[in-house]
Amino acid sequence: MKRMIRVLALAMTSLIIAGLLAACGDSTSTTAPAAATTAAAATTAAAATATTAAAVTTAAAVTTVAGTATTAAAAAGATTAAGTATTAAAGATTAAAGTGASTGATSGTIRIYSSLPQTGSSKGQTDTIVNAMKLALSDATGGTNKIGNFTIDYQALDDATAAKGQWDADQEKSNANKAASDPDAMVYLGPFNSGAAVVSIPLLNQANVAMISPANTRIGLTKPFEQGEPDVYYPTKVRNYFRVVPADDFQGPAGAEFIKSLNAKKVYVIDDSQAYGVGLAKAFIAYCPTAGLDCATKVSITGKESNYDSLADQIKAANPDAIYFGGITQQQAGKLIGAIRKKGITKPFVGADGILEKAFIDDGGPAADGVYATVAGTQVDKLGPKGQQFIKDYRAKYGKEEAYTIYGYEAMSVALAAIKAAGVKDRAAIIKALQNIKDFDGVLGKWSFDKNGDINLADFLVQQVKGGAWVEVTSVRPKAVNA
Amino acid sequence: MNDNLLEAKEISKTFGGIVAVQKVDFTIPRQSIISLIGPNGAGKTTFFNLVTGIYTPTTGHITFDGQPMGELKPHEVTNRGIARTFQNIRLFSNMTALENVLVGEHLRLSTGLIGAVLRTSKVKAEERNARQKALDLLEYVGLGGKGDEFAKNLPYGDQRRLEIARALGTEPKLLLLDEPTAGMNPNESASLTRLVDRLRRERGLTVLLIEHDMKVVMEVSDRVTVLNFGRKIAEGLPAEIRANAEVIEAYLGKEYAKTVAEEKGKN
Amino acid sequence: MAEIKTQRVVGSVTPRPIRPAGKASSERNKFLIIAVLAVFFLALPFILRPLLAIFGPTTFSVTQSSINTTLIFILLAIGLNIVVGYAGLLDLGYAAFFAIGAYTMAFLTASQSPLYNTPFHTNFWVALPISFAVAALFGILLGAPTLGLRGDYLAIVTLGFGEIVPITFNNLNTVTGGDSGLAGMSQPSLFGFQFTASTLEAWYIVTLLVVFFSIFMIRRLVDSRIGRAWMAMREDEIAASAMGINLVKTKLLAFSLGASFAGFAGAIFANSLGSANPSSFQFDVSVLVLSMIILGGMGNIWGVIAGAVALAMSDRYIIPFLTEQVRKVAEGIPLDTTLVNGIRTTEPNLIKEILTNIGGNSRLLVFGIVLVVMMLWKPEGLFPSGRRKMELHAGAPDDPQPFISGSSDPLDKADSTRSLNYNPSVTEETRDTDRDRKDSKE
Repeated sequence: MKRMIRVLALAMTSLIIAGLLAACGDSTSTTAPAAATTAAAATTAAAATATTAAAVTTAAAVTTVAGTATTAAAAAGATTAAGTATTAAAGATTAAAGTGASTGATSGTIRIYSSLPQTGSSKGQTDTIVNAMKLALSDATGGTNKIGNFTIDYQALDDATAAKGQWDADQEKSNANKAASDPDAMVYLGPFNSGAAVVSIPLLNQANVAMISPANTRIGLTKPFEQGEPDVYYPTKVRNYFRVVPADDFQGPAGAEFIKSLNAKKVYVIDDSQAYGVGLAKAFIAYCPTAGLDCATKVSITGKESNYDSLADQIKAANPDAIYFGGITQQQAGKLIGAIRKKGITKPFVGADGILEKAFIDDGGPAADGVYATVAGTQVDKLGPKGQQFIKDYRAKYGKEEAYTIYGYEAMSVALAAIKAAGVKDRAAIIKALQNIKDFDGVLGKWSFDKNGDINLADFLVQQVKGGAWVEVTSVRPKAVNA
Repeated sequence: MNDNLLEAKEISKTFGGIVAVQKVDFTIPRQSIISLIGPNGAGKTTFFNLVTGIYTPTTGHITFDGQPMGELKPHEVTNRGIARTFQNIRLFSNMTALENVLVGEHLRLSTGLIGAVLRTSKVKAEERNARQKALDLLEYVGLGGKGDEFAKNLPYGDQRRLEIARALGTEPKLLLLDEPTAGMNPNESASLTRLVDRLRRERGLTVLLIEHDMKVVMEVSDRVTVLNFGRKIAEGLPAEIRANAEVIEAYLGKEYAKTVAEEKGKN
Repeated sequence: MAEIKTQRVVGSVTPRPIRPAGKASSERNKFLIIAVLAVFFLALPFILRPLLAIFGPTTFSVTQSSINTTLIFILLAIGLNIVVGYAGLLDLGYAAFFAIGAYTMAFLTASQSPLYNTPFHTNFWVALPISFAVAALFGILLGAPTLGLRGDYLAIVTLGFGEIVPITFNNLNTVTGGDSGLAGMSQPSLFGFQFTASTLEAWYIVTLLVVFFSIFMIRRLVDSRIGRAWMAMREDEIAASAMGINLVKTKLLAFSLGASFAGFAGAIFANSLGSANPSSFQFDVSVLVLSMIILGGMGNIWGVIAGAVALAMSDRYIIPFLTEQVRKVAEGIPLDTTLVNGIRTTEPNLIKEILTNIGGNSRLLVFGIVLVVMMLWKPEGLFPSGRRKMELHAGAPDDPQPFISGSSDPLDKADSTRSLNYNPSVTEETRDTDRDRKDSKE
């Protein structure tokens, strides 16, 4: 018995010492990066499988590496002095080691991750986004996956869990940490849900990884909205987050513009109590005076009600000219429209991209017919030649596109453009290149990122359910709200 | 101090329209062994449950040790000094015999949440004493050396004894035994009867016994009370009860008595 | 004294000595083993980091993330085990207390919290014990009015509470930030080391220490007067109450203590994430944690920990990895496609369809199958406590009761061993009904 304990203790102690030595070895390697002795020994085997020598330092567990990261950033002239100082002060994390390791490389592998909920109800939508990203990569590199001397490696991560059937905060965090800890990872495409962005933006901000979301529309992610937003998401104060979709502050007004075009006056507003829906309804109501609408009545549903008969009765009593719904299909939008139509209310029902999916038509049944939804983008026949080409190519290769498909393509395209512009494998340099994107000629048209990292293009499509499918009817362009 | 440990005055208990116990007067003198008998469904167990606080009487009241019982919860009744065993053995079957007795002592121990976590020397001492006391009680009822057996694995007779030991752990003044010899063979019954007698003699306990086995009742009781259909039909010394015509009728039934009479008449 | 000798129990159950008549040296050995294991687990990430680097730069991060999540689930499982395993109260809304812990932490440390810029804004180390206490308080608040309920009824009430709490957090937009939750938590720093969502090792060690503390606390409680009362109550409420155990107080203690460990878990989970969000505390968490303790072996803390490790690791790590492989195979299968009006349409391919689904959506299915098989094969769990094992495998041979006079009601016997559901009045009322029948005959 005693002997066993002694052997056990000895084995474990030696393992621990080896581990600690490896960690310390890395910290010393910071001062002399070329001579990463202990860690190198521990990971020699890795060198064979890993692509670059940079991988050797992955084992780094220590904050001192941040020193290298900062110097590197300064050397590359990518960040302002102030920016560098903040990064260092924020106590760059283990993840920063990656940046340090890949300093200044002008060749090698650059990895791009996407993090989208590919399990559960969003799967239909997100699969097309992943396809579009692959297509964009292939188009931009002529099928070689090479940008300059860099080989681009794209990996799609799933931030949903089966148990939930939707995005999971812990899973999104795990994905973000994976990207942060990967020295080759330069860009993170995603997430899909604004709630997930709340988790991953601060994490990747500290790791200096650029994010481009094809789908987050929550205003507060880039602009002042709720308390502390958006600064709360950017601990280093450097904006690393960009999005190629217009935020909800355009989406709500787009709905209002469209309802105005229907010659409606009095609008009944419903939200679904979730961040997306509440934000949407708020922006819609704020734009109502501009559009000359009367939006005095607003109610919230929770998405857990057993039926909406009494709500439908209230709507009937209020007798509005149109109903605006800020919310998503998964919050029982289908049941809601069913109840409303059952009461004989035939007034236009306008939603946003949250209900713009097949699932809404399936849930709503015949009642869904005639429902409108706005979505960022222009009508396919109003797209420029590049956009037309994308639609043609995508359909030929993968089949019908979904609402966000084109944004997936644009996110990947602009990421590759930034990598090309930076010309160096450095996270800070790539973020800087993204901030400098001007008049990008993409599939959406010609656009730029504004100072918040938002796309400055706000064309919205209006789609309508006709015969069990979403059909484009028109497009609107709301006035810029807070430019 | 009153000579009677327990006094029940005109207590009744009804369930819906059914009267389970009807205006029963009942006294238990200190250090006596009183038996409560009656046919199945006579209200004995209901009476028991009234005394132990599982039910509250619909009318009437009970005084224990000079104090009115009022509406007490079962654990409060136990705290006042009434302990019981169950007709259908209700041991904590997946706990050891020793643990069963320790649960009985629960009430008389004081270790709280913080004490249990910190395990102070006071707590340790208390726990040591409790274990010693539990072992002594096991020894007393004849289960010496069986403390580590799971209650479930004990032979039937031992389970009955363990129930008594567990009840003794609560340091009762009055011990209620609900058919303690049910299902026992004559040897076991005799041995248990001796144990009941010893409890009174050596520990000064007062015992209320529900029993079907007349041999046990006659042997050990100071007085016997007979219930039938919730009513007290007889009370007295064992010998008096044995000769009581109403009691015999209650046990054998009117029909039977009539048949016997008719048979006699024919002949 | 007359004794009936009965055969000993079949099977491997041997009575566990209450306190091993231990020599000092065996005590010391035990202490040594615990110390060595503790140090090993504390040092685990520092061993894993260089070791896993061999398999690629991100392997460590992914693995350590799953391990950290597993630790949170261990905390939840050992907490729920007090309520379900020891005290026998079926709690289906345990995630509510997880949420309360998380939001307490968020209110006290997040910059989006309404308490920001008030004296109540504090740091992680202060907020952690407060979250523990607040969760316990809510355990009492929920428990006090409902613990009079038994078995199924209690389960339904807790189920309701589990639904109400996250919905409340979701809908109290102005206070809780609604659906997007409260972000910008000030994360702890220790000796100049700043925690972030990426300092996985640091969070691991903090969580592990809390787990150690919880195990220590629970083990001591179980082996005390309080633990015996819980167990007695689970075995037989009526008998426990007749032995002087205050049922309400004892249940309340178990319930609030169980809740408080969920408070711990929630607080650490939220702060390590940097934000609290109502979608993290849904019914699936309650079910997952309950499955863990059932799988591992109710009532045995080590079994429960094993169950938590098995389920959390397979949910976060093993099953995703396996299904990913299946999905890759599925992607390799070529499809017959045709162009119709310039749109690619695909001929349905059953095999690919099935494999894609296994690769994408099968986690829950695999999970369910494992649980069903477990319940059929080993209902007492992988590592049951001796007691539990006996309870569930109680056959005729080890039941020494010959017959019971005066009661042929099978409910009687079943009740005395059933843990989660007991109705005390059944016996009495059955008897009274018998009496009623007799009455009417007369």
